[in-house]
Amino acid sequence: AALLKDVVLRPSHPKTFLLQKHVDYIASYGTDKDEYEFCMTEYLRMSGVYWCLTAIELMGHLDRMNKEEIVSFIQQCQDESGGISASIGHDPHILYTLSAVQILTMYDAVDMVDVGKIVEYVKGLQQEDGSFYGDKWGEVDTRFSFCSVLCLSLLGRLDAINVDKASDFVVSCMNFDGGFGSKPGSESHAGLIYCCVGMLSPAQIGCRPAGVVAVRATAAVWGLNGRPEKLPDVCYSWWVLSSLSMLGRLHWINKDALVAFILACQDTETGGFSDRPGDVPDPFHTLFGLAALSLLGDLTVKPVNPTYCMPQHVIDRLGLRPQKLSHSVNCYTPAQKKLETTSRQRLATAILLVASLQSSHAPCVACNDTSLHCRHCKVGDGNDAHTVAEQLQMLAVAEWCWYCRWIAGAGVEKWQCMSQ
Amino acid sequence: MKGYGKQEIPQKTCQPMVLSGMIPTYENPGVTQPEIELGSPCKNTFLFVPDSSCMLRLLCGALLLNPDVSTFWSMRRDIVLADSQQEHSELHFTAVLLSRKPKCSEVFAHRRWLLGRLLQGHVSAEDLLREELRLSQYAADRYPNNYYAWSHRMWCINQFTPSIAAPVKVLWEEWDASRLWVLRHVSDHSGLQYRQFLLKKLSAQLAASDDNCEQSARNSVILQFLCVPSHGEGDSSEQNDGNAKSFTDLLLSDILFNTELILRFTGHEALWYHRRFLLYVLSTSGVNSKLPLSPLSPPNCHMSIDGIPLEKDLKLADCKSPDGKNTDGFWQVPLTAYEQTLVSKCLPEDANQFRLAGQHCRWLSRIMHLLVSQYE
Repeated sequence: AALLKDVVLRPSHPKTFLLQKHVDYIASYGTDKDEYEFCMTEYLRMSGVYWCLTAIELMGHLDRMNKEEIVSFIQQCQDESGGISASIGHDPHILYTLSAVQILTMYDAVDMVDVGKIVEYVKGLQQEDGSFYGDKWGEVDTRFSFCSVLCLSLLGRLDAINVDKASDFVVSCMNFDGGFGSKPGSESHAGLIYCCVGMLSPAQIGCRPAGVVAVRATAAVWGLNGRPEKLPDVCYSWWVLSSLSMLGRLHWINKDALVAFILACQDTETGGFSDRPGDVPDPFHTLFGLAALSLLGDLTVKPVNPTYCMPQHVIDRLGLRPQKLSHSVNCYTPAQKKLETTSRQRLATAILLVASLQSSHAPCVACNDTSLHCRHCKVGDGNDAHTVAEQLQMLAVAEWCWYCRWIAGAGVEKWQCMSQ
Repeated sequence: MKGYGKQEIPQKTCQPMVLSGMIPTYENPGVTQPEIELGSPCKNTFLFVPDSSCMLRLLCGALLLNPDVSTFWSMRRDIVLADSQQEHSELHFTAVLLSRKPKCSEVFAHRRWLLGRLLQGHVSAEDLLREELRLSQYAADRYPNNYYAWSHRMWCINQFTPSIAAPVKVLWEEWDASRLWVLRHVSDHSGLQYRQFLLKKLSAQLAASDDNCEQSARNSVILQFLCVPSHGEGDSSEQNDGNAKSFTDLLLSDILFNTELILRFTGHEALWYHRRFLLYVLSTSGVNSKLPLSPLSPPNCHMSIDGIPLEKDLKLADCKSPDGKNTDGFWQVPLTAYEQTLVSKCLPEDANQFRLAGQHCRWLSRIMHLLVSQYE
């Protein structure tokens, strides 16, 4: 029998979440600019800054980073073409243009660069078939589609590109198993599935989960990998989880097992997360480990948006509502699990659900709001209190809001407001 | 990048340079160093502009140290734009780099850019293609599941086949080569996915001969294959795929090959994954030999925004054709039996194989609507 390629979790691996160590790890990263790894990764510095910033903001300590220095750095990286490079003196590329826009958005400082020129740069990268180049040299990859759409979406300028054609191209990269590759016909890969599903989500295209069997939900025993027979890696906790979240299937994951794997990837001495237990940590894996924990419901980390991989409150501030498909009906209470998913029966389930909540007066555990959607959510008309009829109507539409998630599979049958 | 040694530059080819090599620091960007350094390519701050051959040498050194710096590759492309004689030496340099780092997206991207230019000129497309196939296999051998190498290989096949004299011959050679490669790398899903790519390409070539074949003749070939249990007993290598008369033959020979591999090399998810592709193709190509390229919903199936078939289509799915036979699903019963035979050979004693067989049963049930049990 062949050995299963997997990681074995040992008792010596960390089991508790070492938040403060991670804060210190990120805050001190890059302070020694002569350090070898730091020098060797200069070619992706802008993304490195985005990973560090997002990670530390999710942990609530953005103040530990130097905003002025970072904004000034970004300004020096904007080219005459409008595109932004990874570091000073490097050439612009869509990957780093997105990272820069994400950083500036988090700092609410987008006006510190020439936004119009950025839009022009991204628009110029789109090709006739809807695909996007990474830069002027002509490489096509669905990652670049993702970066372009997200970048313009954060700037509120999706009008500048042909969104329909962009979506057509990404959909043409869908394979028989429902997964996506980098180009039409390329191998399905969890990271690219995230990019493609993520790209279609702000474009508000109804993604068809009917064929999404490829999402690596059953890969390894504890962690998640990105393709068959690959070792698990913490960053796939993010790529897979966020894809499932956007598709409304987060409950497919064995939450306890995955949390155990992610926590085991922490470095108890330096802080930070590595790709798998025992390896050297880095900011990339630290961000995705933290973001995955947030998606899995850890309340010590701020809510993260699965499309943008940015703090949810930043996405809310911009008023962005990327599409997220509803949960399947089968993820409700055990009694309701066996119901079939026709629209008539969905409504019946909804009625049952409301009735059970009303009778048990299940409030949001954080803010005690007894209406079905907590007042921080923007689903429906945003009113604080809803009549039963309104609640039923919203349930029938089955558009669950971002914050109030039904945490199925963890035996937790109550609403939890994730808005803080 | 500080401190990677000074370069001795002969006086006659270029003057000693001072590059404003710097690691951009947040405190003091723009610090000028007196030594020659392989610094960041701050083009705006060169005090002396080196000539292109000098620059190429420096970039060779820089890229051998760190082949991921895309700006260094851009600088090389700028030099090639100015002097197109460089293209072949660029190909040579990138091949050398692949021996050091077989998984490097920048190297393959650079080659694609060069090849795009070369194809427009008077070069032998066959020779170029052969070299790319050789090189991508070299990289694939040295790094398992090398996404970039296989993606490059597929790009080359797509780009070059319109320009060469006998594209079908190349596809058949690739099909044979792929079989040998898969035999040596049974856990490499990228290699198996390349086989799926080749099947799609070959299906287009064989479509003509398939169309001439009667549907019923095709069906009987499939039925005969499924009903004659020869799992692991025959040697599929005895079949000469080059003589495959139709796409159906090709597909069935690969199913047989896959069955043998699953039984011989137990516990490999990649093989089971590839099997699902083959079965999916078999089930959807019974009616139409053109390979479906995407899993988008069958025609006339309306779905809600959640991807759930609407009620009216669920009812229609039960309808049979006017003569009372459900001709679309003729393969379902024999295929169930065929898969059952395979699954029954996967015993609990081999825990990984048993688990994978269980996964396969669940897929058969949910996607193909076939009921196969592990416990028979």
